[in-house]
Amino acid sequence: MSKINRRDIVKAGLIAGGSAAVLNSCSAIPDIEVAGISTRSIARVGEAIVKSAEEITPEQEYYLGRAVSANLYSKFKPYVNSSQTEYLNMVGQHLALSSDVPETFGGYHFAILDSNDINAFAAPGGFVFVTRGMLNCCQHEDALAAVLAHEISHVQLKHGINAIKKSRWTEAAVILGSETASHFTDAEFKQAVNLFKGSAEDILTNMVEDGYSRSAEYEADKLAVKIMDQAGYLNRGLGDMLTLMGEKLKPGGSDFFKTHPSPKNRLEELAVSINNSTKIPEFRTQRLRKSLSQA
Amino acid sequence: MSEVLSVQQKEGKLREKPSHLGRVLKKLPYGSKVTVEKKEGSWLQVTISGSKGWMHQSSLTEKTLALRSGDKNVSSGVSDDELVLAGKGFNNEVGSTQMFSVQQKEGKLRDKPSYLGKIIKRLSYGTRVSMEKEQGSWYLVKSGSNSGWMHKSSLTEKTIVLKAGDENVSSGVSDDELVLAGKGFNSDVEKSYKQGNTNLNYALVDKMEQFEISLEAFEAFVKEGGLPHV
Repeated sequence: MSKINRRDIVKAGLIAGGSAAVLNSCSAIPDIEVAGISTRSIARVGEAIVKSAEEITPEQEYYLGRAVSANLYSKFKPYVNSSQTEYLNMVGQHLALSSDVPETFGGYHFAILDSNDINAFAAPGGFVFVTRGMLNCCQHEDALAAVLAHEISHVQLKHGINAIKKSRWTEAAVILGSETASHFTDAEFKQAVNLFKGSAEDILTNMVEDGYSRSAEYEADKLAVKIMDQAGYLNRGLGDMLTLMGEKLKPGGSDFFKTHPSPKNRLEELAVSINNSTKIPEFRTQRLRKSLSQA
Repeated sequence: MSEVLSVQQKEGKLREKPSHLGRVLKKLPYGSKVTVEKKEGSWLQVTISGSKGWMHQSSLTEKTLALRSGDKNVSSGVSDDELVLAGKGFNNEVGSTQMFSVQQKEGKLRDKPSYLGKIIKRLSYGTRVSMEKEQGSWYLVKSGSNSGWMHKSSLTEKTIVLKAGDENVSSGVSDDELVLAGKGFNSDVEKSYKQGNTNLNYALVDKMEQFEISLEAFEAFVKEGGLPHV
């Protein structure tokens, strides 16, 4: 009885306990108060979580993003430098605000990690991290904009959320669906917390260890070019960045190389969208140098 | 049993003959219910409160059209598949107001449709606002006595229920129209997760969120860099 159409329930008059119907419908369940909590609201609770695999709300994305970030900060130290962090946030905010999704539940935030690895991460909801090693690879502001636009794209394309194992949602359905006739117990809350923990770990593993799929990376590059265009940055910034990374990254390294397709492949994939005949304004090259040398 | 259909046009036309050339006997408002008497090709002969005439089948639907959420039809046991909630969705007709909910932790009402606009008021998650005007990706909205601009990505057409058991849950709003903020992954879940996993560094995440750049500095940054304002 995995799929029950609401219309069928209504027509057949199966308006009894309705625990099996919870996956698809709540309106067929009578609203009875049990221990102060209505059955209908419990049913909706189960449904709210189960549905979120496809339709996660901005609020849930935000809390997952915070959890992923809190995990990331147990692996990486922050680079404490407010001048550089401010510059990073200026470039990042301008990109985010110029994109088609400028608002998330908690907004976009950008931080520097104290690591020489060449890497960048994005957690759901808009938490973007760049290592010092990555910053050292940026020849001009448009190259930094490319890195940030790529990470913003991962957020907007929900690549982190999509990394959550499908089995978790099935598990949620079983746990939360079966208990709907009684009240929402502490055990169920614990299960929700476990699901939260597991989901955050799935996202983190993809971000740091396994990487997203090649197609997801190419998709993020394409959206990055669009965001850069809208923000007034020259899209050759992405080309310049990838070319330099191709020279710097060592195959088998523990950083970006491990989680991303090779810069060469990414460049080939992007060939048409990048305009290399443009010239990066000198001011933006100087501004990056000056900003990133501040103590 | 004769079939009852609803007019799905802004103004349905009841004609004398089964043809677009037939004289218009009566104009029927959106959502009017008509009873089908007979069929001729794509034309249906229908009756409505004593009037009889012809309507093209494409102007009619089997669904019930609820003009506003809260309409009687919504709670009458009609399934969602059989309902069209006309009060929701895109309906910028004169005289109708579209309602939205703030889907951000803190929504900002600005005096201009731009991020350089001054913040007039901060609206909490779930606040209902009515849209008065649309300009590009910005909506001029009203919340209580305050009017201001918000980017459309800060708003959702859904109703946000902050606690399970809130009135909205049982008010006949369809599931698709609801966001249950009080359940799912929220601050309670985070709190419990944090307590059970002491290696997590939430303090740094809070710090990251609290880092702010000033509007003046940002404006200068954009201008000096030769970048377009949004």
